[in-house]
Amino acid sequence: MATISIPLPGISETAPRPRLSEYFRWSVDHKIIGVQYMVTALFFFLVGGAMAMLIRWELLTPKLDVLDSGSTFNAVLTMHGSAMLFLWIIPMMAGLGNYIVPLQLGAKDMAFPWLNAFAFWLIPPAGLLIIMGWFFGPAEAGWTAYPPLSTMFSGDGQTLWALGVHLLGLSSILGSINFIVTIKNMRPPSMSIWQMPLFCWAILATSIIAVMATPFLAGALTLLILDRVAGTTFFNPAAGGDVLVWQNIFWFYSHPAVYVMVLPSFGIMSDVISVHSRKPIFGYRMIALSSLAIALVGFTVWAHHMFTSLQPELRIPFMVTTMIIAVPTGIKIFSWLATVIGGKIRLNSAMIFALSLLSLFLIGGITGVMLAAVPINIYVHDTYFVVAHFHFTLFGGGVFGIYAALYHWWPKITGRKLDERLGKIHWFLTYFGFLGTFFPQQIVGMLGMPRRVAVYDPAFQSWNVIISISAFILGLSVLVLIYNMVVSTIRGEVAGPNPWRALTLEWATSSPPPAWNFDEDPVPFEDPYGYGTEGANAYLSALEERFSPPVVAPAAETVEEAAEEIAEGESSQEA
Amino acid sequence: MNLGQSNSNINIVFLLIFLVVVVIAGFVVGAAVTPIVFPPAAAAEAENVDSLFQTFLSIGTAIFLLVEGLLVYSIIRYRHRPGDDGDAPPIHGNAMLEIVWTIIPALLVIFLSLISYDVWTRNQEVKAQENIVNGQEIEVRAVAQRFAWTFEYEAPEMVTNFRGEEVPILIKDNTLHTYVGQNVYLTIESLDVNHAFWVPAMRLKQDALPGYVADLRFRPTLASYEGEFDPDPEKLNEQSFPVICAELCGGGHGEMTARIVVHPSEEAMLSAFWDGAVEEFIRIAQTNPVEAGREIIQNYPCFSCHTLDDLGWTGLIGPSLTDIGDRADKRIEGVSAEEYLVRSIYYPDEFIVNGFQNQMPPFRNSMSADDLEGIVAYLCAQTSSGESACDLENLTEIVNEYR
Repeated sequence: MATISIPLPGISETAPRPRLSEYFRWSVDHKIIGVQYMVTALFFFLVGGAMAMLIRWELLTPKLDVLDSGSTFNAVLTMHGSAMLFLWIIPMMAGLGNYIVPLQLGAKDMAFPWLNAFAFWLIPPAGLLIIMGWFFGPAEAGWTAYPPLSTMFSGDGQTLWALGVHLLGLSSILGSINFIVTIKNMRPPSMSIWQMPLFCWAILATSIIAVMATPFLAGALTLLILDRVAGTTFFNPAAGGDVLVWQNIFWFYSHPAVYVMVLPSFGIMSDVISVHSRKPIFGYRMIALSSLAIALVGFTVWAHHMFTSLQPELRIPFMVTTMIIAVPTGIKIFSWLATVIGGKIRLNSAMIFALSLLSLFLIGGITGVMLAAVPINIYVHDTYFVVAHFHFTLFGGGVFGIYAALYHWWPKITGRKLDERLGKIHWFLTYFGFLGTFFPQQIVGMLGMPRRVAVYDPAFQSWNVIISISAFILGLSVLVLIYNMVVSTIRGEVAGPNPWRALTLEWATSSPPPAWNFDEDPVPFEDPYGYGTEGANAYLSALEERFSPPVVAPAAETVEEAAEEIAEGESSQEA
Repeated sequence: MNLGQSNSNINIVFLLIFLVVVVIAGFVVGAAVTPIVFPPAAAAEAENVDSLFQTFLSIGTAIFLLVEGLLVYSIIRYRHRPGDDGDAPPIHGNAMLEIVWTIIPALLVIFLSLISYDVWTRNQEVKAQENIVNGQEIEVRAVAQRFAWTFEYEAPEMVTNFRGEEVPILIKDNTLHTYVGQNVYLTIESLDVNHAFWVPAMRLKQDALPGYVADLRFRPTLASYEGEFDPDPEKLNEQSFPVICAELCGGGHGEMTARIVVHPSEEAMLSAFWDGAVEEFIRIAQTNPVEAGREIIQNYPCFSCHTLDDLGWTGLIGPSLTDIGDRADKRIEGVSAEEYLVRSIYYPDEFIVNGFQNQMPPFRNSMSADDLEGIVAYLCAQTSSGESACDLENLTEIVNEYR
């Protein structure tokens, strides 16, 4: 018989929300920093989204008519990709991690609060540099910035872009070091690493990748900047340079980086799916280990982005490693599915987004295996098939996870739930807008439409009209989310400390949590996903007791009652 | 296998039936969809890729239907019923099941890797008797530059030019010509940034990177037109397959396309393209350089920026070339007319008139010495008197000096 762990008896008051002005100041509170990250990222999400709308508007017709030149189109798509990847998904995941990880570990803050704030404050100037580039001869080499296009032809905005991404990389490294140290050292004594919530596992795997991979991006960017401003010739073949050097270093960072973008989402999935199915996560250890496996194997696959440029004899090894990465990814998908089967599924907005992630990421995974096969890759490389694939993984896998996280943790962050009705509308527009945008892209790519073109074969127009209209619906869905966030924060349903009756520690404090998070060191339940056991029910009741406001009875009595109930729970377990 | 609330044999039977249905559906979808989403296959290599894709699509669809089916089923079957506030049974995992869903996908990706490797090696195969035209092997190069493709065909036979020198036959064209059954061997290079040579009909793609010479092999099996080839440029699109640049190369990337004509037989290619092109090459090689230059210069896009009365050009971006021979020797002190012209074409930013900015790309990589000689000889003859302003004896030397 396992021992039951319970929170300490006692009554906790709900803390007021931090004052608005705190969010605009240097703060070392991980909760403030987390919100700062998320709001900044959401701003850049809107910027990147506006660029996407512009791209789709231009592509309504096969001719160039909305934008003034092909170069402007390229500048817009460069901005879209850079904003979405470097300024939205990565900082957003860092923001969620910042807010949630210390809470899930029962910690008072991150290990290095000052460093945490510093890592965040690198992002606004970096974003500003990248956007400013627009006015100094915009970068037009795509987010991948392949030289010699990025060294010989792009404007000075390309240099600013490289500097901005450099700063973002630094921010990412510092943030990740902080996560690793926090997760390693700040767990409560009774929480072994195998009792840690899977979101923390995912952030740990993500941080290991970011610390190991991002320095390579820094190296590549340094060479690029030197080529642009100091007259070096690292990427200039006429002077002994080599254009493939960039592709190798860049993808050695950027392929692992796609796991930086989706692994936190996988962590969110494991938490959300288990809580709202009221059932333990299926195969905890395999999910945790598969995150690490993905992180490790992810370092051996980078050249699959270069099947059409790499030396032919090197293509097969990278095909094999890429195929192998489907195995740990499959483990996750099957484990989530097995969690859901036999559960008691609460179809609230958080859960619907999580289940949608499962259904969409699956498509991205399947097309990923197709893309791994060298002969198929050679045909669809640099077509809309690839565009569809990485949106299925990064939007379907990344952004849907972020949405699920927002609906799931919003009550913890603001003290109020997001509106469910608006949430369902948001989901409906997002899910079908998404499918309408990206499913046809797979087909039009197979039919022969290359990516990154402003002018295309008129035969593909009807597909592109469908895609563009769906994309506009997808754009609209974001406005519904923003409206929901604003309205619900002001007058949403008050959530209480643990609206989902979840077992992880972030729910064992008031919503929003007070300064330093917990009144005293919280006691984690033995199993973060142990739903359906009597011990879990006793734990949850004790939590409820602790946070229910004292009505008439003085506090001392309530404590006694709580203690009694705990004793009862214990004896019934024993029996 | 116990995942949830019920564990009866009926569930297992249903699951097995569902599995069978899903696998059959996967193969049906694979067979039905593959021919629709690909453009017509025009090479033996393309057929290999298509059947490989069909296998992937069939297996992928089966997995897709399996997971989505179970997902939808459980959302309906296991949704929360109002009034039931209990939790689901605490099932933490099933070692057997977890091993199964690790091993089966692992075996599956090993299988998929093997069949992909097989197709890849077959498509890469070096064949005997490549690029046969008129019974001899020729060289074919695809040369990319912003934003156009040039195809160069070099035949081993030599012809004597007007100076009495032996030169190989070198034909340049913006269209790639081949024929059904030819073992095509292409080398691919770039003069400026990264490009990618993509022929969807052949399912082949290869990046053209500056500093690298890549290659590509394929054997066309499907002619791009039936009956007689119509040389009318307006009819080219319907008689050919597209060639597309697939790697972002700048503002004109979307317009960087060309065509590949697959003639139904070698004879058809000879009569529609090769024989005429060879004749034309020999004729130009044997005409005097001024006349040859007049033809050669029209192969380059100079007209878009320059004015030249002799050819009716009216471009306004660059300096006028009308009577350029009168000015060429006086423009720069100590630089002869012919040297001035050679350097201005190979290094256009060298002699910019004060107050102007250079807009012209350097042609030293994309214009052959022979072409440059012809063009300079022709421009030298653009004088009000009609007499050449240059000493053509030294031209070859000067051109070689600045290459």
